[in-house]
Amino acid sequence: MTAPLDGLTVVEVGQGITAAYCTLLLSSLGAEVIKVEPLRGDETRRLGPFPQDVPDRERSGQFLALNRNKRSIALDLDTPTGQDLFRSLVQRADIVVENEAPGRMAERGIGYEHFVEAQPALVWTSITPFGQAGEYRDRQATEITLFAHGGLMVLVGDVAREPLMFQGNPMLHSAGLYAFSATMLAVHLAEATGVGQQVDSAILDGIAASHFQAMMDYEYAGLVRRRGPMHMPIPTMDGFISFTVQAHQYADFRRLIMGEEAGAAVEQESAVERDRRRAEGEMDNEILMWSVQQTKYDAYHQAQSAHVPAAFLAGPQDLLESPQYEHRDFWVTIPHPDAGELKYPGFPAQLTGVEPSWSPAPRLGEHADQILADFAGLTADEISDVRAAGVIR
Amino acid sequence: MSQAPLPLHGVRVLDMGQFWAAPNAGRALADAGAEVIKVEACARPDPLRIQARGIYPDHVPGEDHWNRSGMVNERNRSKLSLTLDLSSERGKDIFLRLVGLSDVVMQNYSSRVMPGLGLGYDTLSKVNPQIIMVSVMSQGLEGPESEYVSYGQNLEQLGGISYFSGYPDDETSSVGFALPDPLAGATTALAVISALRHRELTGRGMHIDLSQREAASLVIGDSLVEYSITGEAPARLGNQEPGAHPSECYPCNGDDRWVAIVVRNDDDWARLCQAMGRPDLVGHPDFATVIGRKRNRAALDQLVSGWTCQHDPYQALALLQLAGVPSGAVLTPRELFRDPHLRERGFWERVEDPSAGVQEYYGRPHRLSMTELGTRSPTPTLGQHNRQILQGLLGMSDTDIEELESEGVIGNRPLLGSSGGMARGAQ
Repeated sequence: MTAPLDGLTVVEVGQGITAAYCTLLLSSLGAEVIKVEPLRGDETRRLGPFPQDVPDRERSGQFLALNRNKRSIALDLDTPTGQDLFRSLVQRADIVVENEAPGRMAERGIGYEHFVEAQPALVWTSITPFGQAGEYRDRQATEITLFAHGGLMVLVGDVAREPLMFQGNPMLHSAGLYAFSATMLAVHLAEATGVGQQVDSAILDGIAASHFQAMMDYEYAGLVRRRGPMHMPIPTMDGFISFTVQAHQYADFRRLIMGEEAGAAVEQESAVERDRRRAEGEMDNEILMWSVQQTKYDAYHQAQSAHVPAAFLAGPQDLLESPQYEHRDFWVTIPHPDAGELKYPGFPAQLTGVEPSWSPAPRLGEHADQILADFAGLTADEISDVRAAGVIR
Repeated sequence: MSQAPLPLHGVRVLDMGQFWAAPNAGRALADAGAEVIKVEACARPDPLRIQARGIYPDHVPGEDHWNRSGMVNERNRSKLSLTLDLSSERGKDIFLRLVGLSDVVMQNYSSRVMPGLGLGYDTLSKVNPQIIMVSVMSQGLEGPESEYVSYGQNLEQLGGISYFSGYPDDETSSVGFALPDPLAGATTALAVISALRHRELTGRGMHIDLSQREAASLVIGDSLVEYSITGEAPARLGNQEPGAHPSECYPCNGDDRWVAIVVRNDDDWARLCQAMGRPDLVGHPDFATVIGRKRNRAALDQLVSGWTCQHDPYQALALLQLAGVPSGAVLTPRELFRDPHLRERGFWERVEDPSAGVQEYYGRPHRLSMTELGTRSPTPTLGQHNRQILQGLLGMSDTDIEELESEGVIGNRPLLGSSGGMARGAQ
C-alpha cells in the first residue's frame, strides 16, 4: 500500500509543539521523520503531568502525543562534530522542519543557505512566532501572547471581564497545520522542477488569518467588534449542552422544547415576530426545565434527531468513549516501552486506499546508532567515539 | 527573488464549499496556483452571500448585495464562479463533464446531499478514476452521529476544545469562537495537497472523508493523551499556561485594554521586575520563586496590574519586550490592521473587488522564498465565469448558454427567497 508522502525524508529540529506537530502529520501520511533533539531532550519531555507526578522524560503525555512515528537522535548542534553529523543527515533529507529562533541555525553554520548550493531541491521550513523578518522577529512569545496579538483574544470571553485564551495550545498546533501545507507545496514544486526553497511560517500570521468576521466588520464598515455576551452553556443532569439555532431552525427548536403545537405556530408567524420572540428569549425557562431533567447525551441526541444543532461540552472521557469516534476508529492504541499502552488520536480524515500505521514516540536518542550508520556511514567504533566525546547520547 | 511557477499550476478544483472552512481551503489552493471554480446554485448560493451579518461596504447592501458580502469576499479570492442547478438533469450532466476535466472536488454539504443528488464518490470516480474528492463533514460520512448538523461552535464543544477553557472561578463559563473552522480548512488543504502527491505515485484518485470534530480533537490531542496517562481531567486554568506563574491578561489604561504576560521561570520574573522599574522586587521573598508567586498570586496580580494600568497596551508591550518578557498586547481589529510588523511583512492583501471596491484582506501564514503565493484575482461575482467555463472547457455555444439561462440552470443572481445553502451541514 502506498502512502501519500512515501519516499520523503524529513529532519526535524523541533522544541515544543509547532514543528513536532507538523512532522507528526507528515509522518502520519507516510513521510520518514528523524527528530534531532538537544542532549537533554525536547523541552516537552520535561512537561507534566506525569503518572504519579514522577517526572520521567519518557512519559510526558505531550511528548508522546506529538512525536509518534519518529526516530530520535540526541545531537549537540553547538559542537563542530555535531554540526558535521547534522550536515550528513540533511544531505539525505528532502525536507527540514525547524523552530529554532530566527538566525540560530545559520549562526551554527547549518542554516538553509549552507545547504542550498549542494542541495537545490531541499525544502527548509522554519516555524517561528513572528517569522524570519520584521520588527518583532526576535521577540518572546507563547500561545497566550500570540492569541492576544493576533486579534482573537479580544473576542473571546465575557465582555465584563478579562479576555480568555483557549487551553491546549490550539494556535501553536494550527501553526503546524499551516506549515505542513506550505512545506508540501514547496515539495510539489521541487519534485516537478528540482528547485526547492525556504518556507517562512509565522504563528502570528496564521492567527491573524483565522478571523471569522471581526476583521471584515472593521474593514468593510469601520465597526470594532468586542466580546459578545458569554455564550452560556445550559446545565443538564450531568453536564452542559448548548444550541446554535438559526432562524430557519427555530420552528424545530420550539417543537423540541414546547411541543408540536408551539412549533407549528412558529411557521405561521412573520419573520419579524419570530425574531422578536427569539431576541426576548421567550423559551429561556422552558429550555432549562427541559434540559435539567435529562442527561447531556439524551439532550444532545434528542435535539439533533429533531434537526436542531446542539452540542454537549465533551470532556476527555466523553471523547474516548464516543461511539462516533469508535465507528471511525479515530483512537489508535500504541504500546510504548515506558509509558505502556495508551490511546492516541489518529488522523482526522479517512483516505481511500491509505491505512496510517503508528509507532510509539522514541526514547531520547533511541535511534542514534542506526541513524548515524545509515545516514552518515559511521562505524560502530566511530559512533562510540562521538558518544564518548559527548556529542550524542 | 527569482520566480518559480506556482506549485498547483494546472490543477483544477471544483469547490462546492460553503461558509468558512471549505471555502478557505479552496482559497489556499487557488492562491497556490490551482484553477478553483466555486460552484453554487442560484437557488442555493453560499449562505454567507445572503446571511451576510450586515457586513457590506459601509453597511450598504446595494443592488447586488450577494456580491458585496465581506465574509464571502474574504474567503473566495483567486477563484472563478460558476452557477449550476445540480437538482436538474442538465446541471448534473454539466457537473459530471466538469468532473471529467478536473482533479479535485471539494464539498461540505451535510452527509446525505451529494449521494442524494447522485453525485457521491462512486459516481464521480466512475466518470474520472483520478478524481480526488474531499468531503469536509461535521463528523464524517458514516457512523451514528454522521447526520447531525453542527456549526463551528458546536464542534468546538463536541471536539473537546472548550472543555478545558473558561474562567476558573465560574464553571458555567465557556469559551466560544468556532476555532474548528479555520483548523478544518487548514486540514482540508493539507489533505488535498497530499492526495495530489499520492495520485502522482499511484495514478489513482481517492475520497477524503474528513471529520471536523476529529480535526478539533487532534489539536488538543496532547491534553487527551495526558488524560489517558493520569486519568485526571486537567483543572480549568483560565489564562494560565502550564508551569507559568503568573500567566495572565492584565488591564491597561483605557476601556477594555489588556496585555498578556507570561512568566515561565525565575529569570522571567527578574525581567518583569526590570520592565516595571522595580528591581527591588527581584529577590522579594514573596515572589522570587515559583512557589511564592503561586502562593501570593493575589498580591502579585495587584502589583502587576498596578503597573500595567499606567500604560496603554503597546507601551506596556514595548517595555516588556525590551526586558525580554513573553508578552502580547490584546489587539483590537483596528490595531491588528495597523500593526507595524504585519505591515512590514506585507501580510494584508489589497484587492479591488468588482462590486465591493478596494479592500484589504488577510494574507497567508507563510512566505516561500522562491514562489509568491497570494491573491491572484478578487472574489468573483455570482456566476461571473459561467460563459468562460462552459464555452472554454465544454465548448458550448451561445445558444446553449442562453438555453441554460432561460431554464434557470445557470444565472448570476440568487433566486428570490433563497436563504442560501443546500443543507447547512457545517460552517
